[in-house]
Amino acid sequence: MSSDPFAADLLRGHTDTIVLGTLRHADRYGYEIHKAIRDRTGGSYEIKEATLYASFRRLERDGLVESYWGDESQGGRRKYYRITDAGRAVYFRNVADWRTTRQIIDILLDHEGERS
Amino acid sequence: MSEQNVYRVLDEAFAGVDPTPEVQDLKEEIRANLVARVAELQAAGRTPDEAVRTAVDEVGDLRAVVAEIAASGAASTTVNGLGGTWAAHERLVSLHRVRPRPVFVAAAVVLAAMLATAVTLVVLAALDVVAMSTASAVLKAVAGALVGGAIVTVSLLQETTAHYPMPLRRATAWGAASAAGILAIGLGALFAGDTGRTGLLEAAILLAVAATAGLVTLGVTQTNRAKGWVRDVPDRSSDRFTQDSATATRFGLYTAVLWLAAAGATVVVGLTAGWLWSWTPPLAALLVELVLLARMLFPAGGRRPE
Repeated sequence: MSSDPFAADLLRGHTDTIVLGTLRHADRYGYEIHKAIRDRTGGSYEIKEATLYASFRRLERDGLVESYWGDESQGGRRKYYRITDAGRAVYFRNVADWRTTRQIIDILLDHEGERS
Repeated sequence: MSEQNVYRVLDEAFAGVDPTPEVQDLKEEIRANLVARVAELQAAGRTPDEAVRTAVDEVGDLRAVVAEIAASGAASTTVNGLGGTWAAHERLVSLHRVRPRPVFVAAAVVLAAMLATAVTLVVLAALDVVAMSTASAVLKAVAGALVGGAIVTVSLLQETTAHYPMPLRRATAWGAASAAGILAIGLGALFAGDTGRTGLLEAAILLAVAATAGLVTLGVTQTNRAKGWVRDVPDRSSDRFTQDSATATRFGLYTAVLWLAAAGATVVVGLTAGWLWSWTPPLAALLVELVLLARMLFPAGGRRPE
């Protein structure tokens, strides 16, 4: 899936929403989020960690997540992310938007009559 | 040692970048994540060197992110440049809007009703409108104080559009200090109703001192709860004239022209139509001035101030 540049581009547009989704039930640190996304798709799609770092900062700047440093002593401190209520609202809105968009695209693409 | 290799790789990626707090923060974050991944790979049987190489490859090209973070300081100031306009501020507020939780709203209404009931009963007891034993009146004051403290605590625990929720311990402390203050007022009122009950006065004074000490301590040790987007927009609460000095200057010039014209018109009207009517130009000028102020200080909705 990720080998196709167009599919990867489409997915990249939803990175922030995907990250918010991984934080819905628990606070996580960067690598955990990366792993959650990879495991969720059975390894078929993985967001480069470099992309994630940019996403975290965007989300934090917009107040959709907040970060805090954990107090692990082994292996250094980790930076955890917690979704805010604003982040939750944005997540649900984006999911709803995506469903609508997908429906429309499905209809429009089928309409061309080129079912293979 | 894999730990040291991680450091070396990161130092290379961050070489030549201005070590601002944001950049150092990113470096530390990446380091912890790399260490976690390396440990996982080693547990899966890779050699330390292999593990580091694989982990670093997986992260992808860091240079772009590092450059972006380093430049984001400049970028965010451009975004904030928009923060000066009213429309942009409205947009920011709606973007960060946090709606109150229904449970909180319902609880606050019920608690407020209980507080109002307790206050009413204590006041009636103090005024001797309702016959009530001292113990019963004090009990109602205590109940009212506890409810008041609870309102303060649960309110501070809420996240709002502009503020993060307060930690539980601190919110409880604010609630307790408020409760002590409310109880002091309640007992003071009961003492005022019957000055024979000096025990009430002593308790009220003690509670008032404790409440003041608590509130002052909490106040001076309070740290910032404002969210990032609020802190980033310094001008958001000031009016348009403060944000935009050109508009303010124009307003001043218009005002000067307006009142000079009004003064001239007053003389002209006085000499032609009679001094009885000379008050009309100043009144007209006042009306124009108010409309001018409204139009310039609060520009109409959709139109963006230049």
